Amino acid sequence: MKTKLVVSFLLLITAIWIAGFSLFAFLPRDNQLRTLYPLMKVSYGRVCHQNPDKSFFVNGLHFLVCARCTGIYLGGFIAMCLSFLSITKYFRFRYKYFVIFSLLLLVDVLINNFIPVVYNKTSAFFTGYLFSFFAVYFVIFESKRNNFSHSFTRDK
Amino acid sequence: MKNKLSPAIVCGFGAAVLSTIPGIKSLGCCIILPAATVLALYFYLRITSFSESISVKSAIFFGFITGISSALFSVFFEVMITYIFHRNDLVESITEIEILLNTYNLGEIGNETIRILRRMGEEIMTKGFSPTYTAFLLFNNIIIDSIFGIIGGLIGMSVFNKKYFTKL
Repeated sequence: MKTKLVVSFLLLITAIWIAGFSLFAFLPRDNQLRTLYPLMKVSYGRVCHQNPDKSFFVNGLHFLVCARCTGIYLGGFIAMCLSFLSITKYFRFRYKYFVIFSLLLLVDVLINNFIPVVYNKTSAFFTGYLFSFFAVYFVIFESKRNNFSHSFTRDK
Repeated sequence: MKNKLSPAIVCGFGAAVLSTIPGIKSLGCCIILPAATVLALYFYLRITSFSESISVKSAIFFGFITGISSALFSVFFEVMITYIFHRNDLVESITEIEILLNTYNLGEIGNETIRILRRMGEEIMTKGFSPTYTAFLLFNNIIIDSIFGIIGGLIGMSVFNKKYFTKL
């Protein structure tokens, strides 16, 4: 129950966070919320390089985070939403998936940044998405297994 | 409590130092802060000789303290660097932001935003310090860093509990 409460809180934060970086691209040009753009740019600048060449463009405006970060946040959001469905309790989200997709993300970062090829937004988005999807499931699974607030003594 | 606080504060300080380096700066929260929280949890486990697993409550506490510590130190470093060089990211991007805001029909509120930005920019370039910008930066960093710290704490908890306390 407490794990669900924590997940709900994180889901709300993630939803606000995603709305924050994508909203400007969908607002009408004369919407006064656009005045928040400078503040939002500085805020998201702390978590992403915000390179327009590496970001998705919608209505002629790029998101305030890059394609990889968009994938990471969206993957986390969808994983948290799905965790509320009772069917997911039958799936086992193993540690190895988390490790595999972390390595895949690392490989994609290395290829896209250190090998002179054209930056691939799609691969950046999907590697980010899969990494955070399985990372969130792994965390939720482990939190439930740990019974939220109780710690255990090591079995030596 | 002391056992819990010291690794979190030290790792938060380390994250703040790394986040002042250009190039690594933009990854400050995304990678460095969660990694710092994971490291803080590892140090805590070492201090307690891996005697007990990490609860979600402790993981959130660790993440929050590491985040707060990183936010406070990073704002301090940012203010000091801005004071010395009289330049920062805001000053660099003011012209670009002004051009963008002028392309929208925002009326008086848009003009007011540009005026506030220019004032902050002028304060930074002349005195090297803007109270408005510093207050915004502090508020912004505390919120963002504590959230990413908590995320790092939860990931660290899952990894370490899986690795060291799986048989339970």
